[in-house]
Amino acid sequence: MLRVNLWGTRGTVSTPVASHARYGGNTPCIEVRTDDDEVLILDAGIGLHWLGDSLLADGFSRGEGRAHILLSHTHWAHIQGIPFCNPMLVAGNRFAIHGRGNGGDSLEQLLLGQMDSAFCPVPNFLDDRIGAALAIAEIGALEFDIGATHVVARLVHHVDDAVCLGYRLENGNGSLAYIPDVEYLEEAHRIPSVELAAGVDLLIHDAHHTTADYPGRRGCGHSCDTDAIDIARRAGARKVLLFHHHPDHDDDSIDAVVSSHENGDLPVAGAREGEEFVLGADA
Amino acid sequence: MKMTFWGVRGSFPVTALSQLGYGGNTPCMEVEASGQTVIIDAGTGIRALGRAIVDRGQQDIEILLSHTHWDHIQGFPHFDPLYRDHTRITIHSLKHEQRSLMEIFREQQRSPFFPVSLDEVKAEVQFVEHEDGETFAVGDISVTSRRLNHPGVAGGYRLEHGDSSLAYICDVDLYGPLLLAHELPDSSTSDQQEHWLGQLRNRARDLGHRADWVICDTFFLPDEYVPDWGHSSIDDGLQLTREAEAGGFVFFHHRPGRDDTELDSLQRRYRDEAGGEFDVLASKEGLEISL
Repeated sequence: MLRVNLWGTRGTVSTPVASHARYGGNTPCIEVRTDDDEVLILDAGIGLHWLGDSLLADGFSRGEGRAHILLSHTHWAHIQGIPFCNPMLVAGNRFAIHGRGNGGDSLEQLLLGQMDSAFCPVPNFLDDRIGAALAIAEIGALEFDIGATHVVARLVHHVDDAVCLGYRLENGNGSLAYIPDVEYLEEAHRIPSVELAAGVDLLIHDAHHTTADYPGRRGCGHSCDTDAIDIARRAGARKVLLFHHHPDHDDDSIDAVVSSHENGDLPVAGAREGEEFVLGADA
Repeated sequence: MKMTFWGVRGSFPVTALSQLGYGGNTPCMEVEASGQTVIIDAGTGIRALGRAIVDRGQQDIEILLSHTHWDHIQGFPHFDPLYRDHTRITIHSLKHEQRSLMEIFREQQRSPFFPVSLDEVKAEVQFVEHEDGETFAVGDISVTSRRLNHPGVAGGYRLEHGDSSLAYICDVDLYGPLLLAHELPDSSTSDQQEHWLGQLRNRARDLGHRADWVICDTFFLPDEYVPDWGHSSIDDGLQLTREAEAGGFVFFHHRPGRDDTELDSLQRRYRDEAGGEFDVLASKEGLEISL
C-alpha cells in the first residue's frame, strides 16, 4: 500500500497569491508512506520545508528518522526545499537523496552547489559532521528496491541539457507513477512515460501548459493536459493528476482545464496541495 | 520618494492563506523618485514587479542587492525584463573578494539548475561592485552602501533624494555577540572581531541616521533569537530606530510561518513600545509609502 500526500504541486516558482491557494503555491514535493514504514519523498521543492516540519512530529525530532528522497532533476524548483528541511539539521536522522548528476557534475556536486555559502545561509548539512547523515545516491541501475517498495526510474525528455527522471513506485497492490517535467517532441519521447505509468493506480504528470497554450511554448520542456491524459490512456492508468501547475494559472483556470475532461471514462483531477491518496488498500 | 513593497518574507516564499495578508514573496522593494526607479533585492517579489516594469515600458533598470543569499536573488531568473530586447539591467552590490557578483548570478542560471543561462537572455546585464561606504548616484537618488553583520558579504543601503531618506538594513544581526560577516580585513583575533562588531553596529546606525524610515530585518522575536543565523529581533530594530533617531521603523523579512494575526498584533504592541516617538509599521506586499 502507498499513502501519498501532496506538499507542493506548483511548477517553476512559488505562487503566494490567494487566487492560487486551493491547488497550492509550493514547488514540487510529494510524501509517500509505505506499509513497511518507509518514508519516500518525490522531489524537494519548497513543499519539503512543510513536510519536514510534519516529520518532526515523528521520530525525526529525536534523531530516529529515516527517509529517501527521489529527485526528478536538479532545476531549482525541485531541490530548493533541501536547505530548509529542518529534520536534516537533527543529528541521528538518516536521509538518502537519489537522483542523477548532469553533464560533468555529480549529483553531490550539484547539491553542494546549492549549499554554497555565497547562496545559502544555512549550515551545510551535507557535511557529515553537521546534522543528519545525508547519503547522496547517484542512480545507476534504473530499477531498485527501497524496503518492500520497487522503484523504477526512467530518463524522460525535459530540456536538452537537463537529465530528468520519472519514477514508478510499487508496494503490494499499490502503484504510482511520477513524471513531473516532460515534453514529448517526438513519438519516442512517450515510450518511457507509458512504461512508467503502465496500469498504475495514479499517474502524476506534468501539465504545465494548457492544450491551447502549448503550441506557442513548444520546446520549453513541458507538457499540457492532453499529453498527460494521452499517456494515462495508453498506459492504462486508473487516474491521472495534472501536476506542476504553471505559476500564472489560478485555481479557476485549473478547474476549467479539469472540467473539460470530465466526460471521459478516465478520472482526471488537478493535483492539490494537502490532498491524500491511498493506493492499493483494498487488496 | 515613494517606496513600494513587492516581497517582505524572509528565507523562502510562503503560500499559506493565513500569511498572504502580509505576503509570501521573498524580499523585493521599489523606490521611485522623480521618474527614477530603484529596485532593492531580487527575491520572488521581483516577478510581479518585472511585469509592471514591462507594462510601463521601462528599459533601464537598476537593482541594489543587499547580498546573494537565495531569498534575495531567487526571483531574478523570473524577472520579465531579462527576456526583453533593448533592456539594460544594472545590478549593484558590495564588493565580493572571493567570487564576483557576476559569477554568482551566472551560477544561479546555469544548467542544470535553470534552463536559461545569462548568455541567452535578451537584456544586457551589468554588474557593479562598490566599496564599503561608497556613495553613488542612480539618477537623482544618492545611494550609500555599508557592510552589515550577516554571514557572507551583506550590506545595507541609504537612499536620499531632496529632503527625504530611507535606510534598508537587511539582512543583519544588529546587536548579536558573534561576528558573522565574511571577507573583512584584519578580523582574525577576538579583539579585532570585537572591534569589527562595534564598527558594523555603527555602520547600521549611520545608514539609519535621521532617515524618514528604517526598513529593518525583524526575523526574530526576542525569545526566538539564535546568535549565528545573522538576523535581528523586532526589539533590536526598535533600538536601532531610537539610536538612529529615525522617523519610522518598518518590520521586514518576516519569518516564514509568522501569520497575519501575529503580525497585526506585533505591529500594535511595538507601536505602543515606540510611544509615539516614531511610526511603526509591519511591511506588507503592495504597501506604498510616500516620503
